[in-house]
Amino acid sequence: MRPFERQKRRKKKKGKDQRGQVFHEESSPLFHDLQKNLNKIREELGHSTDLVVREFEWDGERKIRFAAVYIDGLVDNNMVGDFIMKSLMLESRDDRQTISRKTAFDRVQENGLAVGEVKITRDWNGLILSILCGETVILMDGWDEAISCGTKGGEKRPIDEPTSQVVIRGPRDSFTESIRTNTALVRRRVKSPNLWLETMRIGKVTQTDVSLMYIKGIVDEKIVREVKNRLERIQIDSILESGYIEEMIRDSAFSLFPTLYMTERPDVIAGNLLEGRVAILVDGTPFALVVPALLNQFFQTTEDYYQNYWISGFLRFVRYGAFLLSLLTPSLYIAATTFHHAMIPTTFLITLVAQREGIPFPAFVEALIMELMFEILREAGIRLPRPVGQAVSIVGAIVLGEAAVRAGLVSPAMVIVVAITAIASFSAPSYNLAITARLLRFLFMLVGASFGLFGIALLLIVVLAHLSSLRSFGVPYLSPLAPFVFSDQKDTVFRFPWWSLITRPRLISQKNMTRMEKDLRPSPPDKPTEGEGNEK
Amino acid sequence: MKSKRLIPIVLTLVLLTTGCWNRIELEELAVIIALSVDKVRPGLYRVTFQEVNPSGVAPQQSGGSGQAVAVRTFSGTGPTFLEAARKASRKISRRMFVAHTRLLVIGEAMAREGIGDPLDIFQRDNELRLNTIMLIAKGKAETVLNTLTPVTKIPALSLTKSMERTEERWGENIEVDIQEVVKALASEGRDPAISGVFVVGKPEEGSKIDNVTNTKTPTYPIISGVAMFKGDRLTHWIKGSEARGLLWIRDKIRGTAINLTCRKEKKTNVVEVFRSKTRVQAEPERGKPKIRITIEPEAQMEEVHCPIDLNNPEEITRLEKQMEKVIKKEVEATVNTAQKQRSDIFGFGEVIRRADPKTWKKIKKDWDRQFANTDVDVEVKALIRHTNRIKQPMTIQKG
Repeated sequence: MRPFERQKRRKKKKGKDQRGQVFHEESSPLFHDLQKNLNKIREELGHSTDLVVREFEWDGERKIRFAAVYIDGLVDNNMVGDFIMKSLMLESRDDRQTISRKTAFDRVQENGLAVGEVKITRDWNGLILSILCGETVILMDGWDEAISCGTKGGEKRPIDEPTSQVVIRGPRDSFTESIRTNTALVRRRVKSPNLWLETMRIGKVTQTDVSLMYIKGIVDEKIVREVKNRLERIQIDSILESGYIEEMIRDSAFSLFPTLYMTERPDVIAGNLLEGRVAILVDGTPFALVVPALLNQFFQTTEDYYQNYWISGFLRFVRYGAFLLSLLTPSLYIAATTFHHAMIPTTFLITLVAQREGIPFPAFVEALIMELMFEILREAGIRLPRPVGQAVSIVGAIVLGEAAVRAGLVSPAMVIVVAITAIASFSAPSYNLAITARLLRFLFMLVGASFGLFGIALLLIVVLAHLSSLRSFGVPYLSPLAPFVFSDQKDTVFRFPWWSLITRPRLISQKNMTRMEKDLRPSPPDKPTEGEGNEK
Repeated sequence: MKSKRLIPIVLTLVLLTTGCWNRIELEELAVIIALSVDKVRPGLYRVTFQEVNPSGVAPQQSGGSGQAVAVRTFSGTGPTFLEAARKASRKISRRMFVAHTRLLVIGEAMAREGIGDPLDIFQRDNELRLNTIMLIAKGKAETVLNTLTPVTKIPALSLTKSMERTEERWGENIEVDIQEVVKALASEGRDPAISGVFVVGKPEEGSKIDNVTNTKTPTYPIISGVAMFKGDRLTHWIKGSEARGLLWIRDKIRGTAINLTCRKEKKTNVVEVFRSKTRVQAEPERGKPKIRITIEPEAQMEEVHCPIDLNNPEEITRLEKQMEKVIKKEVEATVNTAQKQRSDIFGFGEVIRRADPKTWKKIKKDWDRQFANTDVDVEVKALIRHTNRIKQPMTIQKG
């Protein structure tokens, strides 16, 4: 604890000494003189080479000098060229002769720019920020105001298929690194005036756009306020990914369990907004956050809502089972084989004894070695370039599985146990929770090896107690199971058919509970009345 | 602050030093699959263990070392069972693990002395299980354990499985576990009956691996007969149809075949019973209760050799009557034997106690004698459901 604190303090001091922060505490107004302004901009940005300053002049009775300033790459070059430069330089030449400075400036602002977003900036902080955000700033000589035009653009990754949450049935678009694209993707799905968006800049250096999205009238205002409060509290130099925010605003700082849901799918965000949740989108990452996040949410996939509800319910069961398997399999195996031999069916016990004949390690060490090897393999597979990654997994499977057994280092049963664990953990729909199980597994193994099933049961109780103590933005983490909400059971472990999901989840938001009309169950039409029947 | 830092250290110590005290790795276990108890001479007992040799049983991919024997046995002798067992454990390298014991064989001499004593340790020990199957060996129990069996390599499992199968297909032996025996011993109105086992062939040859490499196994244990107990002592063996009589009464028949001889020719028809229901009732009759046994077997024709017309329903009825007679005779024979031995293996006493507690209180002290004189009324209501896949046999149809 201590050294960490000290470091933090030192950092703070440094920050004040340096002028690391681009933005001064107090913002000074612009100069009247164009040259002075341009020099100051150049100076502020350290004469960066990607800064483009284009000066031009309106010739007439009085020459009026203008300058357009932007950063190359951040702006849409076509836009700057066609709609700013062109319109300013070429058009309305006729009456420039007699114009005064005041009218010139107004003219430019009102008529001279063929772009949608135009605003006036008076101070240095605003000016610099506009430039850094990809806007084009127009400065006029002898005038202490600047016009910034929304010309954001530049290279963007196209909308791609999601990589972390793949579905068979369902939309195939996913978020990109551009927040504007992302909000648009959501808005395209929810065409409601009540879909509200609030944006703030977080990160003293990075000035990252962070947007809150919610549906007014469905969302619980208290949660929105709470999210805003927590976001405003963040005083950090940079936000490079939504993970920064997740860790800064989560409810339980040390918990292994995620209390914010992470997704890169716009349809998931839309669905969650409609359940009354709040989405947090961060510029520069395709991963958006959703709050409040409940445990059962991590076992659901968006596809549950798209496909046959029978299979959805079944698959949710499978996922819960897989989570328990990935959490407990090695520890149960260790406990059963080192303490509770009487529990194993006789013939299986004999097979196991035969397998363990000549294995040099106790079951726990054996399991630990295999699990760690698997984790290494997994990490190697992720880090390596794709083609090599596959080679690694093949080599890993063969070497670890086959050769280790042949060499008498591990028993075949242990290979199976590790394989089950691995497959089960891959089946988790949410990567966040799979990580939790991955870590907790080792704890369970340790306890299982020291105290057997007794220890496993105890640790399970501890985990359960911890889970029930968790809250995500005021909503109990285990709800609607604990506290038990009867009406929400239709979409917790099971997924009832859509026509029966009449109300929204109760604990997320109490507002506007009804999702649809009652009695929408499809059924064959009643006998046609005589008149209609005859017509057909 | 200091104490706060100590907490995790103490917790880790607790975890690492106190845990694992009863940890045993699998390969340190000697899995005992069967036990036997023999009386050597009065006051000296011999306990034999059958230990599974895992590499001789489990499918092994890295085979090679020739044939391994599936089990091995080792025994110890001592004045008490535990002492004998502990002496036996000197002969093996691993820790004896008896929770998976499937079979307990008791030698005839021991059984005649009384099975109550050896059963005490079985009830008391926390590792031994009460659902262990019990058998009484004709002769020495140790030889049963020493005999190797082919196919099902572990002899104990081979025995218990074959007992299960024959009980449900043939019905002349009875599968009882320790718990049932103990219950019967504890009950005043019931005596235990346990299936018997003996070794066919030369016992010395049975323990050699050659025994299991022959197509026609020379030496093998076979389950045969039922040992009748009086209290905890073996008094009499019943065999064949007599044993089946016991199963009829105990409602344990799940399937058996009954021979029905023809009227004229020296040939036999066979019906197979596939379902049966027995009710044993006590009829209170002033101080001397009467037992009424109702058996309702359902059967199908399996073999037809007599010249009869199965299309005629009356013939079927006649066969049913004949079947009833055969079963009734079997049951009465068994009851007679038991009454002669004064051994209430049927649990008639319990039936009376349930039906008429007052009378039972009066007669229970003298139940041995009363049992011998109790009237037993057997009624059989047989039903032949169908003649199976064909009706008339081909030969008879032609003739």
